[in-house]
Amino acid sequence: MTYAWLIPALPAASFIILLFLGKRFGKWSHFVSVGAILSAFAISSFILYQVIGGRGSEVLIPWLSIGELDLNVGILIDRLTAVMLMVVTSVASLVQIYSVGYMKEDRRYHWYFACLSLFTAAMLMLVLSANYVQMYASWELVGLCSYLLIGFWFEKKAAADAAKKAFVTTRIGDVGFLLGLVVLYYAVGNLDVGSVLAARLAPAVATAASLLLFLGAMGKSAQFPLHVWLPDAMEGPTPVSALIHAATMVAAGVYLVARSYPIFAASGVAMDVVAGIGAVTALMAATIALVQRDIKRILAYSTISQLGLMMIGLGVGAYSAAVFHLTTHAFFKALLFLGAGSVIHSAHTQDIFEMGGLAKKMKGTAFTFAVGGLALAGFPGLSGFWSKEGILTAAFVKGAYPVFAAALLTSLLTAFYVGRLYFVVFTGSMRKNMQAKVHESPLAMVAPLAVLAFPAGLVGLIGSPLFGNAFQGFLRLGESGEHVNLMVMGLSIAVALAGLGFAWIKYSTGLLPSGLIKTSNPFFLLLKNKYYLDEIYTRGLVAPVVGGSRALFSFDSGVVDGAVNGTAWLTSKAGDLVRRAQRGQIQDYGLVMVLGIIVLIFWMLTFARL
Amino acid sequence: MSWSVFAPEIIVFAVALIALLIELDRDVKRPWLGYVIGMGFIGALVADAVLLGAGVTETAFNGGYRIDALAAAFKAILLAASALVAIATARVSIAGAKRGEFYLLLSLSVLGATMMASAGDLLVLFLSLELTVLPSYALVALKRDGRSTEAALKYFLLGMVASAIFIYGASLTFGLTGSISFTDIAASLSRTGMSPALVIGIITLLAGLGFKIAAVPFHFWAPDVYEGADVPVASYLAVGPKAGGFAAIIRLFVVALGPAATTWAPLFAIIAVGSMLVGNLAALSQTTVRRLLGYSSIAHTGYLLVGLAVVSGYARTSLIFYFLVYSAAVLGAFLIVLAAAPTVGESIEGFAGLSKRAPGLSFAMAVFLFSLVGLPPLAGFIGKFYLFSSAVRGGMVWLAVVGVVNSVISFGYYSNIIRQMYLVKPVASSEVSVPWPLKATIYFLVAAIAVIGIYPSAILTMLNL
Repeated sequence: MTYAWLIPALPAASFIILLFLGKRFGKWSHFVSVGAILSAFAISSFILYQVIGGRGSEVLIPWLSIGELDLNVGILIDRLTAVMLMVVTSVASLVQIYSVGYMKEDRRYHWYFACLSLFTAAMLMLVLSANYVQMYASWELVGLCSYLLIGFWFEKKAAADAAKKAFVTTRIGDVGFLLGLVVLYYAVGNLDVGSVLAARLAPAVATAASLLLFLGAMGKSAQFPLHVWLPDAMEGPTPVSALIHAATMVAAGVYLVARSYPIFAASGVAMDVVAGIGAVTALMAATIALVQRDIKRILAYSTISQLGLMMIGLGVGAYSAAVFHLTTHAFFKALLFLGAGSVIHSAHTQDIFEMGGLAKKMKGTAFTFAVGGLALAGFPGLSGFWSKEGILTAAFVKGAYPVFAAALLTSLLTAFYVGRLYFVVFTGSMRKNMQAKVHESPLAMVAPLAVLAFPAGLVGLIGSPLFGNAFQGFLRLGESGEHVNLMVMGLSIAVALAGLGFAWIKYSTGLLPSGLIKTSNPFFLLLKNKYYLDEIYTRGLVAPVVGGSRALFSFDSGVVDGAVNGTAWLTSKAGDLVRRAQRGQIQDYGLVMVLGIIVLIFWMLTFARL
Repeated sequence: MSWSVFAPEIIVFAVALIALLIELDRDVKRPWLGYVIGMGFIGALVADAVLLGAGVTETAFNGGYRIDALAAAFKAILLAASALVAIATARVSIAGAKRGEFYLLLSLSVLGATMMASAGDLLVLFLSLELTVLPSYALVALKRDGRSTEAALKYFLLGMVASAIFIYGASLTFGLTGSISFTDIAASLSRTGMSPALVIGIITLLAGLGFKIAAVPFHFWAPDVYEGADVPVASYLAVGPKAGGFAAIIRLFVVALGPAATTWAPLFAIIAVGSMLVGNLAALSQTTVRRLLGYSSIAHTGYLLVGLAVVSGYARTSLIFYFLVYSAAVLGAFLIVLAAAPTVGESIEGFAGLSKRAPGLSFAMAVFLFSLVGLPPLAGFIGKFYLFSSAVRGGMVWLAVVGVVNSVISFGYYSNIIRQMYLVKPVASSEVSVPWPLKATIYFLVAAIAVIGIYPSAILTMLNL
């Protein structure tokens, strides 16, 4: 299965082609990148087929040897890889096709597709990495691409700031990842994924390594308290948001934990931390999503919340259920983001309270959005329901009741904000100023929505008890089989319907008086301001760091630069001296040669060991 | 002994003959000649690669000629560089000369340098050394204007002095050890040990070879020649004679004088430090790109000599690897000058705003210069890393520190060119038009530097590092 290297290589090649020849391709750039990603998708499908047939492979080739450290690079294909490849390539393909319509008017069209290709290539490389250093390199590349894409419209200050914020915040996590690798290297002796996972680590080492790795995952997968970059990342083009939120960037963190699962499983502390952070994140983000007005931000907080849920799954030992939720979430969240993009494209606003009644004019978008929304809300029978179900059951069976309660409450809130989002945007009456401009989006945008609606709604079935939990069986790693817990299932159905129903009553029927919750309510303000975390970070972290940097800078510009400039001055003076020795007189040259020989001879005869 | 082991030399000789025959026919326009010559060199390169791959080790002509991995590695670098020069110059006007004349002299010099890499005794070494430099004197003079004639004359006179000194050292060594064969010299040396007279012999031998590689204090010709000669000639001279010179130095000192390694290793350390300092410091205040590259090539000779100051196989392999990456970058930089000079001139200020006028060339130049500095992820970084780490391993930390400090100094003048290209406003806006073979060669070198930098094992496993 060595041909698997083609999967990241094709988008990478597309990046290089567009980088150098992009201007020439111009409006045709997407043919290069879409062609590359579709081919990668085809190869990934074939790999999945082979892996289902029981094959897998690990290929390592030496890359670099630095002193005692031998670094390999390679390609690791197992079931987890095969699933991730499918998720990434399929969502990325649809996002790229969708972008053809969405980005049509953009000046840097070719550069957009170049970045998108590189982003996908980096993520695919990450998923295929057979060595942690290789994985780390791809991980950083993913970070770089997210910087480029979030800040794609860098003329807008908010976009440039958001890009910077995403990069810096995730870098904090990356430091943890790197330190985790150092720990693993000292414990295992090399960083090949296979041998690291096979090694029996001492509990303390496993705890240290897994917590450090988890710090990296927290950055990329936007876990509390490193989640703050993700809502701001909405400043990027909407298809990019879809890609980041569904298939690439945020999935990287969950993937890292899933890939390193044996290390985490060896440490009870680490598992509890993962579950705890997941629970806090899930609940916190879901509550914030309740009061946001920006359609993309609501979805952004929903992503954070769902990632928290995946972490809960990993933390309570429901490995396959967590990866399953990653998969289903990738599809329905991509669908929701692309749907949101379609809405924004047509309504030219992101404030949901300026919209309303859009379903009449945008039937396709509305319907597919409803499918994605119901899947996210955990509507019985749809994807999100089955995957969430697995996580809830695992938490309950394990007896982690606080975590279970948080997850259940998150599900209730999720159903409510999804309902709010849908009813406010698509039902009710349309604003006057909207009527003229609202229209259904072009086919290149609606077609991917329609295509995505199927997996978004139905992919959950392969992991449902109806099909014998086939998905989980495929991935299972040290878990006992799934048991349907009817009580959990009943609760889960109840909260989903309750949340959706309450949202319907509140936002669609007008049965409840408006102004029920005062906007001056302190709790409302707390949520609206996202628990003031940005402010806390600005005052508590950024301000001291900037102050410290200022102080260091004055030291630097005064003392250090002075020393540096002095050295440079001395060096250039010495250079003048040397240059003057070269006057162009051949007699001088010959003389210096001979003198040099004589000096060397005397020096050697005096000092050298004979 | 089978004649097939001489395939590279035979092919290069045939190439020279082809150039000679074509030169006889003076009236034909021949832009294709460069491709033919280039293909010839590539043929020789393939033959050499086969020998290298098969691990052929053979001694011919009573020990006078050695075919082994060391020779094959240097020949490969040399032949690849010569092929690139030939192809790159295919559609470039070579001032004041018939094209055939240039290729004839070029291939004769290449022949000399390949033989130098295989020399197994002092006599063959001397002859091949002369075969390398005699055509290069003529090559420098090809342009037939004041500057090139002056440069050629300087090069010739100093070269003759160096050769005389070399012959003096050879005769001393022969007199003291009773043999000109490298292996016999080594045997005799391990019996009798060092004597003061032999020290003089070693230093004078080194002076002769040090001239070829432009090591301090035998370096004076380099800036004048690199600036005075026609650019295609200069780009060859920065790589070709150096490859032969380094191969010969390694063979002479490691094989013939190996038993006296503790004596000569400090000698190389001094010359290395001197070359680094003089080359880098003098380069700082240069105003033309070619003169700057001339001094920088002296500095690079200094880095390379670290591989000899530290006596270990690891260090020597690092030297060969660094020679490869240095050759690629310096050849690339000279080819950029060749491409840009007709439009923007050769002064560093002329490169102002080149990124606007020729983005591709500027990018390539930045890659070459950054690789010469040794910035990751380019090949130059890996090369310097191995070279300096060999010094650390050999217990000569101070030498590694000097090397790193010198790399920092070199950043000063390399970055000045990059600053001019990218941050200074262009003085004119005319497009820079470059013949396609030249452009293709430049981009090939960029790709090679990037690939070697990212995946050095491709080369390193071949060299067993």
